[in-house]
Amino acid sequence: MSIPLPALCCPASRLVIEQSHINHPQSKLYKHIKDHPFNFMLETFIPNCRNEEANLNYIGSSKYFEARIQISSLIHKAFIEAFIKRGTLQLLSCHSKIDDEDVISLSPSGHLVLHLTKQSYQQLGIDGKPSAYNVKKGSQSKYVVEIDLTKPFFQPGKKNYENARNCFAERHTQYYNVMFTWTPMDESIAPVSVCRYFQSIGYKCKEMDVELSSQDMPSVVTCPVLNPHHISDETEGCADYLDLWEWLGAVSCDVNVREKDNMKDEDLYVSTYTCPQPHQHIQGVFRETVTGLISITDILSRLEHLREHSPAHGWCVLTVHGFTDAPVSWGSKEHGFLMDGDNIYSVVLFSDGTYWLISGLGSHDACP
Amino acid sequence: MSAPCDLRASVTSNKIFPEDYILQAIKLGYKTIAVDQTITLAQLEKVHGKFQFPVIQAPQSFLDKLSKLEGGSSVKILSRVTVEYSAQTRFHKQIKPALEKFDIIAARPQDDKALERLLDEEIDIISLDGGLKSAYFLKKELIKKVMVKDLVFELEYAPCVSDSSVMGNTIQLAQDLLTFCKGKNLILSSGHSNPLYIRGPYDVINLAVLFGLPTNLAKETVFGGALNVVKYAEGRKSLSVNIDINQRKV
Repeated sequence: MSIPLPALCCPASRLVIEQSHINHPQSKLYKHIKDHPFNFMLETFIPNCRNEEANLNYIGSSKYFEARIQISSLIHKAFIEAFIKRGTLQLLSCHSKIDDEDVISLSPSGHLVLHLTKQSYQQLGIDGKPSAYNVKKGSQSKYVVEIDLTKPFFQPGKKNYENARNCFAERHTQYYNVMFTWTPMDESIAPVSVCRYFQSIGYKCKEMDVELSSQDMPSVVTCPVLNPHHISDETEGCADYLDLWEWLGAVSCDVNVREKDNMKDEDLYVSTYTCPQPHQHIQGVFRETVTGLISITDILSRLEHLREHSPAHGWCVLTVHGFTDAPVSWGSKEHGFLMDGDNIYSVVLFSDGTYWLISGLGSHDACP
Repeated sequence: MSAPCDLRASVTSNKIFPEDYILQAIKLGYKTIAVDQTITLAQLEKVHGKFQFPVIQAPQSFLDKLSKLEGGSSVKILSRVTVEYSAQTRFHKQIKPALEKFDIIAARPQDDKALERLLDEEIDIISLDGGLKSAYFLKKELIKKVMVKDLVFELEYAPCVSDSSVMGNTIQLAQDLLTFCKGKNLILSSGHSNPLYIRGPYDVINLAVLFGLPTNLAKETVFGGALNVVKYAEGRKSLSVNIDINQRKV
């Protein structure tokens, strides 16, 4: 007799799509990008294009920084005035998993978010709230503490500032490995100033280079046919946005994308994926990948660069991968990790200025 | 704090410390690993009137290698003994000192009556053998007594990878346990010495979901359940004191 197995259900994840025009007054594209500060990879796909034709010199910042600091250094008044209020600082702890360790982040809006275990939260002594994504119902294992460093009342001498300073100086003194970027408002100031500041107060800090790779993918000979004004396959002659999302994932993972008729038996053993219908034949795909801590400014620069060049290629895609262990994903909404921590979005740019914004959310993510 | 644990990394058949297995476990993300030695009561040697069984410790060269690994210094390696226990055998008072050298004591009952007798002993884990077909008939009253004593049932997934008949039996056991105790007193561990058979924490969570646990509970089982066993075992080892206070370096 066979054992009845329970109906298996996949962890809940969502796909959110927006179709609009870049110049539309209600377009959410730029807000969406600015609200998603912690990203580790930027991918650009241009179908039917080669490396020499792409003209995509990476014009963003090629550096970010890693340091080993204590949280008390982030709430120094000098630090807040010199860096947080005079530029865009993005800071995230690295090499720590959000579901069972302490994670800290500092978003460009000046919000310090601590995602702490129960032990660390009780030791710290600052009011916070239980995580919205605690694994066990009725048992709070993770807590979120949020401090707005830019508030006018967060000043030395005020009660809440002195309380925070004492807590971080005496109760929660552990060191965090963090990565950060800083884009100053005054272009004459070098971004490395933050690194020099940490070094001057005795912390280790070093510069890191982003990894940049550009490659032609001549084996990708088919891509979906898209109609910028129709995201679903209700109209014949264009592919669905879900098909495009799947195709993007396949190309990103170097899956061999071919027509079914051209696939041999040995190909079917590894992958049976075929390009969705309707599709068109292309001469390959140009792909560029930038890996590191990517600032919002760099993403916006890349987007503008693609807007200028996309008319020549029909459509192109900019995909941004967010950190799976970031405490916040879109805006100030909490992000967690159950079985996945996906927070990824792709911007499909068409030559007439229309775009599709496809966002993939994990099971522990609030809708943007 | 919860962290993924693997509470049964077996020593090899020639009683060598499983270094490769532990390195693979650390690479997959485990923070606490218990190295297990399985014995029958007949294997306990009597030396000078007392039963003894040597604890296989990690070699110093391995500990030095571990300290140099990224995250290696925060990994805890515990010692564990699993005693195969049948209805005819009994834990004598003389045997207990030999077993108490280990951080975790587990028992593997061969049938129902042995399982019932285990409730009177001071152990941490009841390990269920998926290879014994229809050996156990888990009764609701028995499982309730196990839950009252805060003992946990352990299921091994590594033998399931290599043998499909063991997989069927393991699933049946898991279903029975879920029916009676809702998955609360259940942990999953590998139970092998070959690094090929260990799986990452999230794969084990998926396996628990296959057994029928909800995803949240499966994650709590892998991340927190095994860690609770470790804490309980620490408390049991403290013997006469109820509170064990250790000074931590800040």
